[in-house]
Amino acid sequence: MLDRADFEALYLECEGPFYNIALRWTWNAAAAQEIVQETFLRLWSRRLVIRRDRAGAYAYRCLLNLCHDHARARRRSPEMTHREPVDRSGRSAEATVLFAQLRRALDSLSDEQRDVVLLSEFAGLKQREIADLLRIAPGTVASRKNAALNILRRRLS
Amino acid sequence: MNDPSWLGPRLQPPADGLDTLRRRIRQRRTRGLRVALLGAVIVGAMLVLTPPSGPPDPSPGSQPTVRVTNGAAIELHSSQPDVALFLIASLDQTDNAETADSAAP
Repeated sequence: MLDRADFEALYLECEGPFYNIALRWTWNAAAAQEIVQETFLRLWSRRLVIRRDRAGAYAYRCLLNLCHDHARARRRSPEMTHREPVDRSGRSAEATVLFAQLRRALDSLSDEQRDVVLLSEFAGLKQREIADLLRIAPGTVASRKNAALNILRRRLS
Repeated sequence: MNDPSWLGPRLQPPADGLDTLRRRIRQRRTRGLRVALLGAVIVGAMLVLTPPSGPPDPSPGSQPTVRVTNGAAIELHSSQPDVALFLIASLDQTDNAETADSAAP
């Protein structure tokens, strides 16, 4: 069971990484924030049955599922364009160009490769933790990450 | 605020994220209570309005009856005043309609 204090502490701890992961899936600040909020609303609705030590993993899985759903919807409706900029901090056009390059590079990865790279980079999860979270072997995590990094290196160079 | 990273800068989420989440949790709770209340009202209404199951009560007067004797007198028998009133009102309407028909050229 997860009480309110645990729940809010988890939110504060995960909000930043979750937002950045969701942002690299949606490329839209509002959509990323909505996914983070929906993730924690789902966690809240299960707070009475979920174990405290599994709450973080549950939240990560919710987040990834919502990101995948969003990506699938976008693939089905390519005309679904986001007019809002990715970065609302008013950064220069240089950042916009960087995000456009990153988007093309990350969009060229498979969903599984992207999960591994984003969890490793933004959540700082170790190989074993990612393997537990995605319910795959640690070796698979390593191979997906290597393949993803090779693709990204080619695309971003 | 933003660490340089090869996957782009780490952006800060909106500052009011936790407040927004708290508000949405409250809204969902209120909506859940409303749905539960509406469900209870519907179930209660169905329980009140559903007639009791089983065979009809055979005792005299329990079922409304209308008996016409020689076209001259109408007898209403019902233990339920609402049914009797409904029948009387229906007969009144029929009577009025027939009167209007007969009065028409």
